[in-house]
Amino acid sequence: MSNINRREFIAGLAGMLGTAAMTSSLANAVEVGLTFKPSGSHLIFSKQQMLLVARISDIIIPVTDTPGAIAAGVPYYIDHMAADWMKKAECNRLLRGIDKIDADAKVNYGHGFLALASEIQVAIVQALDDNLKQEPGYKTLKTYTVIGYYSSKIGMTVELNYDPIPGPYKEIPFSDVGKAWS
Amino acid sequence: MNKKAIDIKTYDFDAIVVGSGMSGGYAAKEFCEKGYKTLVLDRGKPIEHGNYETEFKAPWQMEFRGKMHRDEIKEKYAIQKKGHGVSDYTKHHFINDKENPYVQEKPYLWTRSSKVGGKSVIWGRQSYRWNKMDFEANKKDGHGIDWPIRYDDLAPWYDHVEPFIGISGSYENLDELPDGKFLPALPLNVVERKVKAAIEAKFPGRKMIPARVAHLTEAHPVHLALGRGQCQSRSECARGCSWGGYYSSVSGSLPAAKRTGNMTLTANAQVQEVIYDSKTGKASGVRYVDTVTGESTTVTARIVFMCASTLGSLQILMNSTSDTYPNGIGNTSGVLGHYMMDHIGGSGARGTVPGHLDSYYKGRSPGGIYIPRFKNIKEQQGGYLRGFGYQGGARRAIWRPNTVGIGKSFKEENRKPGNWRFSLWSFGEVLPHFNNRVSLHATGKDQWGMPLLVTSIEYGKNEEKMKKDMMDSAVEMLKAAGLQNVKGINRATPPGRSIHEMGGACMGIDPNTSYLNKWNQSHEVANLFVTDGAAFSSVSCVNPSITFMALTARAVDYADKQLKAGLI
Repeated sequence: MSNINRREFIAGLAGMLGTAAMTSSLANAVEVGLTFKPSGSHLIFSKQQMLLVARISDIIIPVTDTPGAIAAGVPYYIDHMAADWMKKAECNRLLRGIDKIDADAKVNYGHGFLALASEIQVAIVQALDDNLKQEPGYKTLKTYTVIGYYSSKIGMTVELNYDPIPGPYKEIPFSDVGKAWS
Repeated sequence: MNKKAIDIKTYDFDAIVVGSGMSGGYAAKEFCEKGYKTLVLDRGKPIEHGNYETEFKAPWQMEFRGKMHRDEIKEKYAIQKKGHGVSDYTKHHFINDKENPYVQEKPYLWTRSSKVGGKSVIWGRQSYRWNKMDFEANKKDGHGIDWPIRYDDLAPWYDHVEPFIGISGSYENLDELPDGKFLPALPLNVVERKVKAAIEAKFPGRKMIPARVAHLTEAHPVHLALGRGQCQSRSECARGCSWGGYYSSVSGSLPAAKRTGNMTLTANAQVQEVIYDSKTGKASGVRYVDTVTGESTTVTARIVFMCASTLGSLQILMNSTSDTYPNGIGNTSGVLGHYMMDHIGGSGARGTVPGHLDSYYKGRSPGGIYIPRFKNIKEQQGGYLRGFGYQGGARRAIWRPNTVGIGKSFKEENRKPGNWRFSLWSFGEVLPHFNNRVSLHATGKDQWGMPLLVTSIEYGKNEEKMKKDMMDSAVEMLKAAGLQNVKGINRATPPGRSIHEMGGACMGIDPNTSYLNKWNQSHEVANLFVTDGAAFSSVSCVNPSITFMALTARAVDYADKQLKAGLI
């Protein structure tokens, strides 16, 4: 699906969902709020940016049979990296990317990203992900989301197979472990 | 030894060993086990085996998940970070570049350890014997100084050091890569076996064998007695390994020296010069500066072994001036600091191997594969002299931040290991050239008063041609073996980048053209020995560390016999 088609698809989706989107937006905001509460110790993100990063990272790496990005502390990791690790250009790219997702949602749906129905949020993130190379802000956000998750304790020990002291090296069938080593 | 021969009133110690890495650790062990009261001086900070500060740190316990911050790199590790193995987990084992300057007249990447144990703590652990051809190469093609020894002189000393170090390897009966005394080889995985079969079938004369590495695939009594145990395939070696699963002087030779009760180990001791006594015509000892207090101390001994790393030893020897030796102790010939070499690297190839998705491994193999030298053995090939070998292996990919996808399916995809990837990379033999040299800066000194080392080393046409072939031959083999997405690699790498620096105090027969004789002994100062990489007259294409140790053990044996006979 091309970028434009994807946008049309989302627009159509929003139209279809109509008021449902409106009502579920409140519930959704509450849900995000319950799942993720900025502690006030965030370094560079505004509270709004923290909430946006939390929701988007949760869409990229959701709760499944294992915890997702929020439980793994990804929003705080990205905030920390943005404040203390990234070069100014990369940090600005990230911040602009986050704000743009919110601003685009207002233009396209009349509501900020966090107020949209979960299905629309997922469709928006899916569209961005399909155009990863053309979306530098989102790409930065995704890169740090993925690194943050898979290098977290949850990502390494719950999602993947953590093996700090493997013992003597040996060849095994993959079915013996069923998950990649972290 | 004959205890009466030691006049403790005259000497502080029987032997002084400068440096405690690969060579120094081994010299300490051999001297101490022979009963010599031995002082080991190392400029590095103390390190305690079994108490490695980052050994059990997980990524989530590191400030930036194991990444080093660019400000810290710039501030402290601008040069070290361009080398091999420096990470947030290992940086404290490397020197602070800002505090330890040197002068690059031509670009040179000097990797240095900040700790006792030297680079043995952070080494690559690949361990191969030299072959007959390596010791004859200089004589055959006329480059450099002919080695005063041949393979057969050193073979018994490889036999001597290998069981102590503990080297895993397979017996292959190859002239180009002599077998040693091995622990069981690390097994090749399914993809490595497949690539091996294809390459050996399509390129007669080429062999792909399990890498020979200084890892205990089986702990023998000699290792267990030192508290070393089986390798746990963590592959986080450079942080330090409490199991002693890989060999370092901190897990191996220094504990062996210590248990004799004969070793005194002094850290933070920057040796600045070997003291020459014109009355006896010998070295009387060394002078060192405590890098913490700045205090200067002179210690004496009957014999001095220089094992301070190739460039470190040269810097000290060149700074050891006297009326007799204004250009450095034992340097009447003027060859000290010349014929500097490294291995040329940065070239190889990689590709992917389809299938075998049902095969996996437990543990991160510290080995992989090795392809011994196959060029310029029986006939001249490629328009260059000498040759190269390959290291590498096959692993499955893991999660990638740039993978497309979101949600449940993205997580599920990342839960599976990715495709098999195979890589080959190479070390090539660099020719000895007189003009490749190090010297001391006329005025510049470090904060402890040591004249700065100046590097003036560059690669030539031979290396350039060989490097290209190191890539091309790798691409050719991987393609022939049926790999996909094969990509050649030929990165520009400055001398020093392979961290296999050798030469500068070359061994030779003629005192007019070489610094050391066939026993690693100064031609001119009989109780001064150099047994680290500085002694090398050529560099082969295999990793040098076990040859440092074999030469060191041989030199100590000789020195011991000479001392007992009253000849030194």
